[in-house]
Amino acid sequence: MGSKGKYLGEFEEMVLLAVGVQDNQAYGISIKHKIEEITGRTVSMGALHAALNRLEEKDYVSSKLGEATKMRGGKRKRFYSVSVHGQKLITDLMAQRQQLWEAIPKEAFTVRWTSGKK
Amino acid sequence: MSLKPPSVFDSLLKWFCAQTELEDIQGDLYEIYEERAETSKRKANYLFAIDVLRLFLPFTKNKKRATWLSESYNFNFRNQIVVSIRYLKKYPFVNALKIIGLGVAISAFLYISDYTRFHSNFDQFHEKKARIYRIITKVISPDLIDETAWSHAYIKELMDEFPAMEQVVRLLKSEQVKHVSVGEMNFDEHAVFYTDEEFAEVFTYNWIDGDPVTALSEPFSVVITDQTARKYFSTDQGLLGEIIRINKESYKVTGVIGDVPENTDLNFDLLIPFPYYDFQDWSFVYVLLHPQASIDQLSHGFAESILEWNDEFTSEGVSFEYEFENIADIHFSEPKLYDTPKVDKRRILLFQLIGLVILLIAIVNYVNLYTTQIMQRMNGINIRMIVGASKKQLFMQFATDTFIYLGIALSIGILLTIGTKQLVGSQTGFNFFHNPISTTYMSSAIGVFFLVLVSISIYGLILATRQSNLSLFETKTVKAHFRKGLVGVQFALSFVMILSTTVIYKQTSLLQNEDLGFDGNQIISFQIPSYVQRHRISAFKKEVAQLNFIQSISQLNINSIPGMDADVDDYYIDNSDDRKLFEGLYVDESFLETLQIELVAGEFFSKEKNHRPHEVFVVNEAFVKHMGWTLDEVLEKDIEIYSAGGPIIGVVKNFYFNSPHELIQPLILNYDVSGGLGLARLNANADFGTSVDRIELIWKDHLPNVPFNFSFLMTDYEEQFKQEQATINVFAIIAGLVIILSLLGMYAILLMLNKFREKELGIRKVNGATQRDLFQLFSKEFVKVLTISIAISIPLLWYGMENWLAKYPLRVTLNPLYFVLSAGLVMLVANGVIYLQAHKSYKANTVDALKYE
Repeated sequence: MGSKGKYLGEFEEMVLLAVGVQDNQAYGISIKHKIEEITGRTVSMGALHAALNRLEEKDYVSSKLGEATKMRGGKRKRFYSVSVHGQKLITDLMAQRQQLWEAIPKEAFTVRWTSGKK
Repeated sequence: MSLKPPSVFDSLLKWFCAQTELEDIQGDLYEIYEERAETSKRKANYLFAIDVLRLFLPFTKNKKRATWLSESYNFNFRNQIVVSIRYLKKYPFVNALKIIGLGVAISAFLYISDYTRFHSNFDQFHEKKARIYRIITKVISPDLIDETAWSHAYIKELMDEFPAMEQVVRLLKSEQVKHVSVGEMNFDEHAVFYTDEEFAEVFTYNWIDGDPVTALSEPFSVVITDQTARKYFSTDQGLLGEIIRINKESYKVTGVIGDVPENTDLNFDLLIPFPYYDFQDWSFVYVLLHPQASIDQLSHGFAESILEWNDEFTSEGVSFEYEFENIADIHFSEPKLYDTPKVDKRRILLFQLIGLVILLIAIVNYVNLYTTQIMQRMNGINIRMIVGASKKQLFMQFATDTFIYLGIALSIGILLTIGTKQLVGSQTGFNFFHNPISTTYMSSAIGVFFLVLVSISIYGLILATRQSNLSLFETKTVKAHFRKGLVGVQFALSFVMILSTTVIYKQTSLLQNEDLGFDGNQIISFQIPSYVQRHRISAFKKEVAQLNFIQSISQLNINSIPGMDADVDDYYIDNSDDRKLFEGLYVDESFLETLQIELVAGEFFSKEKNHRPHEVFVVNEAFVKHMGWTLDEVLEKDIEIYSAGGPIIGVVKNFYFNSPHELIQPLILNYDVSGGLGLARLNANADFGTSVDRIELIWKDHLPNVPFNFSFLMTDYEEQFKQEQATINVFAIIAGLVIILSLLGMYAILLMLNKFREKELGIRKVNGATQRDLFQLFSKEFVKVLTISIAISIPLLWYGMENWLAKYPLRVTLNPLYFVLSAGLVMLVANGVIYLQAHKSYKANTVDALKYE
């Protein structure tokens, strides 16, 4: 849940990352597809737009409307990109994660997971 | 591009979404839709709808999430429900009144519409109903003009002469009870119908088993209903070829018909083909009109066309006229001889009207109370408007309010109906809600619901946003008069209902208590099936007659009492060569004694006087009058029938085995002991229970395997009058309802008055007004209206009642006292309500009223 302050919800984090992947080409549908592709879970439009709005409110992403195209019944797309604050935040976050991850002793996780979705 | 998502949900999206977000959200949804539509358009539609709904459903817990919601949505939808509920709780009493009143009215409406739908849809399930007609025969002779629902069976044979007739099917209910045995079980069946093999060509039924085309082509086949099948075999499947014995003859089951609705005149349990011999000249005759023919073509000149087959009658001065009744009209038409039970169409229309009126009144009441409440909430509404609520938002607010209230009222109405179904059903003798509800009915009902919802909301909107609401405070404007007039109408209706109920009640009592020329108390009636051998019956009767608690026992050829379906036969009166048609009964020598009918001249049949069957006759007073003779003259006359004859030996007082709806016809009593109904008169202090048991034992002795169906004659009469009693009950209930609704209406107006004129009333009280003064103030408003409306309704009511009573040869006179008392009652109740309201107003704290806020 978005709280005041600089902590991100888990889903918001995913969204932010996905925006970053597509860098300026990210819009609603493409973000949705990307997350679905990586995590395998279905993303609802409502949840996605909620997350995007919150991210924008907190100034982690910025958006602007693109040009009208023939697709989508002529409706313009809104493209998102990670803002400077967002970049800093996600870098910090990922660093923190990495730190913890590397701190886990090798012997603690004895099961080898195959990568990818189940 | 042709790929468009469902527009309903698209519009929903535009409606609820904030403008700034709309474009890209909508765009995203469109794009996904296009993707999904490549695999399955249906799924794409479905998922689109789901997406939209999930975006905008009002019950999301997390408000912050919905940042794309438009202001109107944000402002109203969820808040609105909260506000509505809060308001409900704040004025529980008034709201309860409003809602329950409406609920009750809805319930009444549901009952009424079910009743009227049932009776309006008799035999509507036949596919070819537009082309199905029943032939009515009008028998015209110098002595008798009778319309009968039966026609000559030979019309069927004449079918080829009339190309307009595509098919002719006869139908005849067996007059005699049939004894049916299936294996070891015995049944007496009353609903055995004879018909022709082309039955299924004309009438549409759901044949569970058997081939409709051939089922009745072989003699000794029988087609049964699924109910009957279950009664005999505990199943309705796989019964083709089973054997049933009807009157000791074996019939093969060749078909099973399912789901026969109750609203049909063809209420058969078993169908068998007419026997090869012509055993009955008359029957119901149904004609299927050729698709290209018109009924006028057929009926025009029909009588002339079959003149040659009727010539044996015409030479005697008897002629026939024919009428063709469409099957859809049969249930409402005038009853004729041998006809099926009818219902007066005007009565149905009346009920429909009443139902609508009740509903309308309830809605008007609701609107009145609603107006008051809007006034009360004006402060809140004004603030909202200042802060920037748009008209659309206000409309949504009222719509939500009304939706919730109407929804609750509707639920109450439906629940009430379900809960009271049993009770009302038993009170009125009508099986409500038996038939499943059609989808068209449901959808039109829902349509009406939304129409009402929207209208009321618009009304609320206009009310709230008007620049000046002063007119509500005025008492002399047209609007104010209109509102008061409405209350007046309601009370006039109450007056009408009370009066009508009283009159109908009195009329029915009169009919019930009328001297019918015989004494039906202490009489047990039982049916004597025709297949029973005569000597057995005689032996039975002889033994019963000797019981010490039996006064006498008699037998006659009438199907049932109440009922006056006598045989109509040709008689030769007074050695004339002219055949005349008269109604005739066949009775035995104990007839008079058993029924305590009075003999006014001559003597009655008796064995001691060596009267022989068919050689002596007795007539009734109406016969004497009809022939224009005196009592002495008639005793010198002779009668001849079927080549037997003899003198008229006696005259009896008129009697009538029915409620006197019609004038009494001339009647000839023939002497013969045969017939289907037995009557046993018990002594004055006989115990019914043990008497019946003793009689039953004797019956079983002489007539084993024949079911003993008895009943008490007066109970049968009560059954007969239950219909009319039911009408009274219904009227009484409706009267009660209308009165309650009127009270509600008046209460609503008074509430409004109180509220609007709070300050005025406060000032009056401060200046020394007493409760009496307030009472007079209020009642002045209404007394005028009430008096006028009652005065208007009196002549209308008088006219209406006279009209209704006129069709009864025996009727009550309209006593002005009824009118006075009813009006008095209504005025009294009205004043009572005014008094209560004045009292409340008086007690109210003046300070609250005059405070300046």
